[in-house]
Amino acid sequence: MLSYGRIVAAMVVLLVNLLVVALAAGAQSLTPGTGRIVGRVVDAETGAPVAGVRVYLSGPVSPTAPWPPVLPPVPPQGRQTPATPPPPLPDPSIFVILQRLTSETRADGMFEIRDVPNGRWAVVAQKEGFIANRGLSVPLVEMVAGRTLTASDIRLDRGGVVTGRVFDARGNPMSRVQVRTTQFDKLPGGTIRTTGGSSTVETDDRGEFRLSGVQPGVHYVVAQPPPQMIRLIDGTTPPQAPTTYGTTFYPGLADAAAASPVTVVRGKTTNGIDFSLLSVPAYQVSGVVVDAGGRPVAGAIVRLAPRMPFAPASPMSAASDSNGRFRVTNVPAGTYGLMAAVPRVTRNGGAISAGLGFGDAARPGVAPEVTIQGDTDNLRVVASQP
Amino acid sequence: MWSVLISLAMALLAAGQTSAPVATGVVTGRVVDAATGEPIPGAIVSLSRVQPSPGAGRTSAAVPAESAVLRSLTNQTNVNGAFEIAGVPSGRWRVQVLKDGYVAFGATSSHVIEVGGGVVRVRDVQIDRGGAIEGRVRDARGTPMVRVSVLAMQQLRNRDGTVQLTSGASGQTNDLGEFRVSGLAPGLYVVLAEPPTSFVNPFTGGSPTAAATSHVRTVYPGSFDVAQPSPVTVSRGGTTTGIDFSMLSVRSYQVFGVVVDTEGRPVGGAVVWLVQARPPLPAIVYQASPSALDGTFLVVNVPEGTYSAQAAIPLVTRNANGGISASVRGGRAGGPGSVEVVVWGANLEGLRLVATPP
Repeated sequence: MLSYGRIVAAMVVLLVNLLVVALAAGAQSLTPGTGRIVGRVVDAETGAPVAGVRVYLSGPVSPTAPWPPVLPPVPPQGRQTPATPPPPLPDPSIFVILQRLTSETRADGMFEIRDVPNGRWAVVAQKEGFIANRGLSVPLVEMVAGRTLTASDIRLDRGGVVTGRVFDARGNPMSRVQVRTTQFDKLPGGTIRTTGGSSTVETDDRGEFRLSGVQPGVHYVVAQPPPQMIRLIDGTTPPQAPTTYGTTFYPGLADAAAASPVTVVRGKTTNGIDFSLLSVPAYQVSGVVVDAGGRPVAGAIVRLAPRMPFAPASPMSAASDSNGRFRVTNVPAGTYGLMAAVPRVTRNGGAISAGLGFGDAARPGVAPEVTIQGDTDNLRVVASQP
Repeated sequence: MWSVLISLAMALLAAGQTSAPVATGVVTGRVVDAATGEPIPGAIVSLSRVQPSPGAGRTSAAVPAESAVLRSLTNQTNVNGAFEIAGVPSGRWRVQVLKDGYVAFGATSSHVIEVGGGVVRVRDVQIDRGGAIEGRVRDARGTPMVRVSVLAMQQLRNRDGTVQLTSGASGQTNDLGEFRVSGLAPGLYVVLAEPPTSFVNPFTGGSPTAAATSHVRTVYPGSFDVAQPSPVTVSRGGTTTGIDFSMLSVRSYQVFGVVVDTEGRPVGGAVVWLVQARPPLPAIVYQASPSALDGTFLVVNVPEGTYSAQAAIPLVTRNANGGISASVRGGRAGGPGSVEVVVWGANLEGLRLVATPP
């Protein structure tokens, strides 16, 4: 005798099959040599379909490579990594192809990705409030041209939530502070090795932040000062002040190893992670931009790209004047990659746009590094070739 | 609105041009909270030129592009609320200040300074903490809607009694469907929710999944348009809470077509839009994944209505970092090469669009 539960389950399966068929019937002008992938995303806890999930294909995954991929060891933070030649940049056309293989689930949790080239693809799903699927929960699909394949259901876990507020040194709420959690192991000798963490959110106008979809476990909350909101091509820097804001670990420390742990529990919200950003001494960094022949370069943008562990992600920049001189203000102590380039200005009809490329210098280990421990003058920066 | 205001302050200044020296000055000052007098760090201060007369010529008009340094007359306040903008050409400039949670300052007021050759010290610029609107957006089944853009447009009554909506402030719903729109001047606001912003990149592709129904712009408390607005009151510096509403959804269709050039050959990689003008609200835009190599395209989840359809070939540039940027002209109702299409009761097939070159 069939139990009621079994009947419901059978109906659900039938319903899903019908939906897949409906999607298959809508097939139109598939690019030759490609196929389609359809599937469904559900809440791991309730089994309910999840709408508005970004689903993309990662790969193609080599048939001989192990799955899930073995991640390369993360270099220990807290000491300088030696400069090694970076790997060559991938072909930009690959990037375009990968971006194309993206979709979003609709109200019934179903998704469809068209024009998928042959190969073995990993199906990755992300949505606010959920932990992105990873490791063995990422379905692999082997595409054969002209076919429509169904990925196994992707089950997304809600994880936990962390909320709080960030203030400045005067106790006023700070907006646009970049907040995330990090997970790390403390190694002997005071260094730490990052093992995980949440994505980054910004505080709102009341200084409030809410990190959702956080992996259960022990985390540390880290806040980084707001990025320069002026566009990167813009050379204006704020007037020099004696202090600026530095990277701060909850409950208000510069040292990651001394931070207080925050335990994230599945399905629970941890409130009250309130703290103030640390004030740190601010320095001025100045010098001259030159070309390969040593001549001063006017109108170049100089960039200081932080290289310290847990440094603000956004660089600091300033423009060189007609004599090639530049001055970056409010720089916290630390190690920075130093680079310069002249923006390329293009006109598209009446619109003016400017692009800025530092070439290889933008990648870690290529640009010369400078350690700032006070006001620093007479730096020479060679502008990248456009 | 930020980008609009900042772009107002854009000026192209020639680098090291000695042939036509222009007297420039330096503008310095401090931004403080009007109520507490506390200095405000991280505020964006920008200068926009006050035109002596309409059509007198824009600052950027006479400047050659390639040799120019692109600079905006914009600065960000430091930890003490201080700002300094150098290289300001002589003339009359309006000071504008933007800061999260504060009412945009100077966009319309006459906070004008006269810049000559030297340093102009602006007195403390006092900005007001604005009011806020908070609420939740759900779907028809009561599930929180994530990543919905919520727009608050101020309703102003003209002298002749007609009502006008200004471009307002916006916020986005979080994983609970909660939103907060802040920095609002006191007044009446029309609140509307736009369907979740797509992750899908208009230049490189991908597409939401085709569905029989889709969410559409919803005006609080639950209508398609502003015919009978039910505005929300915001008091000075106050927070209006409980603006909870459900996103409307309607039957939606797919639009299939092909992009060709002026000679009728198929064009791959073109950007395709369906635009519906909805004054006084912003236009509604549905965008296709870029056209395939054979020129075919598909716009998914389009509700019934009249649209202006157009296609354009993007200008794609690669920078030295291996990154790709693309820009395209168009996206306005009735733009060049646009075709009026009506979606009604069925999928639309065989739409043929001539692409606008980059």
